[in-house]
Amino acid sequence: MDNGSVWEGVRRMLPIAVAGLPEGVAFGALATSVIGHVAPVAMSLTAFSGSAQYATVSVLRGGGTLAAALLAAAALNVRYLAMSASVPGSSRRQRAGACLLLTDAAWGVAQGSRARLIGAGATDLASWLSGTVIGVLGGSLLGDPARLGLDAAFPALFVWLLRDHLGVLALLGAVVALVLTPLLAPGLPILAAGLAAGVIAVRR
Amino acid sequence: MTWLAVVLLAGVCVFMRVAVPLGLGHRRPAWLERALDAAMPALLAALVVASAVSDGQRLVLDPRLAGVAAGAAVAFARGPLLLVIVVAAGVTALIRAVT
Repeated sequence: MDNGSVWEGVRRMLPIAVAGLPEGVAFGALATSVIGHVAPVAMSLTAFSGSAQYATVSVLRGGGTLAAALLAAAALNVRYLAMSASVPGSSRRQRAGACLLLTDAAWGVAQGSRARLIGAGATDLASWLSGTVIGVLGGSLLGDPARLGLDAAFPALFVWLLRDHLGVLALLGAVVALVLTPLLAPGLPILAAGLAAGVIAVRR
Repeated sequence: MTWLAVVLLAGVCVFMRVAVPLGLGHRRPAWLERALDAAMPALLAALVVASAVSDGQRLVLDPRLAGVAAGAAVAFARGPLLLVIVVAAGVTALIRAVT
């Protein structure tokens, strides 16, 4: 269907999925103390968005309104509107189906290939979902993921992907994100970086 | 309340993923292709910022950044992805262990 393969997406995503597993475990362990055993797993399957899920669970624990959590989730995920536009395919249903698996890492790995997106996204979902299940069942057996340096895995992936795209546009994106991070809700600076580069390209 | 929240959250997250693929026609207009090509490096760089030096709305400098810098050195020496990730995580963990 394009120049990538599903397997290629799986292969590239695998180290990230392994490094990200404790994130799912941490979410499952926290969420099960608030919303039981089934709801955290259902949430990881249907929302598939770590920060948005944390926001929602903290509301259910009694810290804020549901509307505020949904607004935070919308702000966090609105960048997917831009990322999903780059997924190729002639049928709406094929594109939308693949984009159900869209995450930052899967989008980066896909690099414009729908097959790679499916492979990478499914691998990411498998990691997030199985991590959640482990967390719900066993609590945080793995300890703090930061101790193992696993929080450096995601930025390392994006640096690796960025190495062939260095230039003015990358610099622009980094500056926009740095300036806006303290000012806007998490997620919005990423979208703003993409929009800024896109607008400049169209107007030129 | 719990299940209402689960359903509404799913609605928001699914909408953000499928709205554009469902809305776009058979072919993307040329201006959108140009914008998306230009947006890719900017988005990747912003994702590096968001995952390497941010904690919510705060900018933070911690051992993670040193790990990512070490990983970047491997990446620009054309090292494989797995090595980049192992080096980044390893250096971060090492610095956390000794400080």
